[in-house]
Amino acid sequence: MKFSLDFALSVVPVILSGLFTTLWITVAACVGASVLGFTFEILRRSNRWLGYVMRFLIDVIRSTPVLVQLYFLYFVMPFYGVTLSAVMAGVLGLSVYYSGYLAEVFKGGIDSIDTGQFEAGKALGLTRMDVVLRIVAPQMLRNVVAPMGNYFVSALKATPYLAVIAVPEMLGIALEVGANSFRYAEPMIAVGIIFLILAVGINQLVRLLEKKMLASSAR
Amino acid sequence: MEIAGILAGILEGFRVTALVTFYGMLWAVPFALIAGVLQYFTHGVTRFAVTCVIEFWRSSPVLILLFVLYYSLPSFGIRLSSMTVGAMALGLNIGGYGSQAVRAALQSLDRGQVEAGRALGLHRLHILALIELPQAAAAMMPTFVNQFIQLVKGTAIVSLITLTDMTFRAKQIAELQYNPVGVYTSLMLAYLIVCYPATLFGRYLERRVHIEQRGNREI
Amino acid sequence: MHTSILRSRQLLAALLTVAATGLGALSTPAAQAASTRDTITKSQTLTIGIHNRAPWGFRSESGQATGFHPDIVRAAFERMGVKNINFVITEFGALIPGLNAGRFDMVASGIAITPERCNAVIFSEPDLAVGDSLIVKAGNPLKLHSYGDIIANPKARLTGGRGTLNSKNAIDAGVPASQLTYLGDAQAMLSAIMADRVDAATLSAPSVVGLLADPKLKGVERATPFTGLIRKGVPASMYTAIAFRAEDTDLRDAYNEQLSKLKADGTVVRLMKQYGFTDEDAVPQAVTTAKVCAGEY
Repeated sequence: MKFSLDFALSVVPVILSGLFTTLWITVAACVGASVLGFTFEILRRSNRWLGYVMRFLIDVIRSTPVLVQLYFLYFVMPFYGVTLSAVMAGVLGLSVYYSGYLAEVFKGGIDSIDTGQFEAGKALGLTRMDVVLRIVAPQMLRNVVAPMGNYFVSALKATPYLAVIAVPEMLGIALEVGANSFRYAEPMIAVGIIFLILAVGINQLVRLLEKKMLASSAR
Repeated sequence: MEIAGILAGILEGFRVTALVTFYGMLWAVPFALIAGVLQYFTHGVTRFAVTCVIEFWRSSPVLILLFVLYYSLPSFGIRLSSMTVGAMALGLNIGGYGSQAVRAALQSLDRGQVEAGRALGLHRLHILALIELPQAAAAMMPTFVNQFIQLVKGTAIVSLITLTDMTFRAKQIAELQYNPVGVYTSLMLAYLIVCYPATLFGRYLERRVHIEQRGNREI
Repeated sequence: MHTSILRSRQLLAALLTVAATGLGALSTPAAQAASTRDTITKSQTLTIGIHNRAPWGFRSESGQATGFHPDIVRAAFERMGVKNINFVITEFGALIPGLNAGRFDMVASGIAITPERCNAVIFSEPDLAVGDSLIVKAGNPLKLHSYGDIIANPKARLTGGRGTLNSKNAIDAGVPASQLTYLGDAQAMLSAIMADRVDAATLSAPSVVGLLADPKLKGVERATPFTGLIRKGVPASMYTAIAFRAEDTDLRDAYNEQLSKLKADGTVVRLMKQYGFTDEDAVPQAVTTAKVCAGEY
């Protein structure tokens, strides 16, 4: 069957109907990954044994494919009483997967902050929790914007995996269109180009943001 | 079938996983090196063209690259085997990331090295091969180990284009008898067995090399 | 100094060789000079697409393609000298696209003739006539016995395979898209019912029987009685056949010739019995592929 440009163009609007789902899943996964990653990092620092456990957990997460983790969350967790909808399982899966990477980013971010800050906080009589939240976190945020921007784009590019657990994001819709029309060629190229534009576009935005942050923090 | 039997069935797919990883590396490493060096060397329009090629392979979601190569190319008259599609999509996608690390490693070298080489009367290409690459090699090693791990994990998606890798075998076993807990737990174990040692090795290398990457590391 | 230049040249040469080997893995584009039928006759091998579902087309424990349709294809082509049958397992919805992308020579996996599919592929004469069936949670709590029951209960959630006729029948019967989720394979559908993500799954009756035969499977049952889609006053049947690419008319005709011989000498009946089909599932004489494609059945 020859490629049909007309058909390809006609499926673009259908695929784009999943754009909102794709985007909000990405955002949710980033938030989830940040929260989890930050928690991991803080836990890792607080106690030597906990640190080893966290390190092991993160390595396990990084050593298995995200696809397999999604299958696990979707098919196995219900047997342990945790039945999530496909979308929630997908968001959780992506959050857990990226939390490992973000923990490393936060580690770098925290390490780059002068220990003097911690000591000053202590001297001022602040609790450890206060020091972390009020002094360290805001400074660290500026350092981690660039890597986090990268992970946002990565999470966006990982949303297609969720199609295998029946989440109605853009690839899932493209596969449905393909199955109903018996032509996969056109929907696949259409969804590919859409993602390429999104990824490159958001990447450029992140770079711009990075430049602005660097400019503002230069004293 | 208990876990041992299921694991044995899944590991039947290891040969395909290994083959796709191997062919994938054959695409990824040369692409990363050549593209990274080209991006480092060239200027203006050529550099823009190289960047476009890199960005195309790097910024597209790998799952969509896979489907496009598998389903869309035949409608243009190009039919590649599943193995080639899997190796190309994974290899060039991961190689795209690798090229950025190669370029960063080359850029992080002292300019004095290049000038010293010029002073000695060496041809620019000789400088690259004899002076820059060997020194940057140490910095690039953790990246290549990382690429290997990413590839092994990435092979899980080739199960979606009918290649009988470990994930595919797992799904086949799941269809024969209803036991999602056993099957997907075994699948996670199978990947852990293969990737966990590599992850540990990669972290060991990273600590030895101690190069600061700006969070552009992977995925 | 000389040794290092030599080493760097070797390194460069090695890199180029590696790149060349990698690129050499690119198989040459298929030059469609020979027809599929000629290629099959010459190589004595053919490749079928199956979706790994009993009793239609699935991989046996010994790694062979087996099931009603692979076995019929094997019997038919053996007489034409074909010794090997290779197979590719793919999701049901990807069978026709895979066929048209040249990934296999024919689909031998319980694919039914529909007017839409006739525009994408060509079919052999039909070999079986089967109906839909519904899998529900044990005890059928929502009391679903027809697509109408699902429509009547807006909270009822149905699942079906992507691109299957069962899903299409559900839609034709009026089940709204909001109540239908597409899943890739039967295992996913069963998991979904048990995890209470959906209330029912629609599959062909033989597939349901095959699935529920697994003794390890608990917590689901077949909805009985069940009325599927009613079209022009009669329950709609799905007529299964072998699918070929539109240009492979010679291959299809050769197969049809063998099929009528197999029908005449009782092989088809024997295979039907082997896979649990009854006389009820036989195709009425009057039904031909051309008529089904035209929408008469």
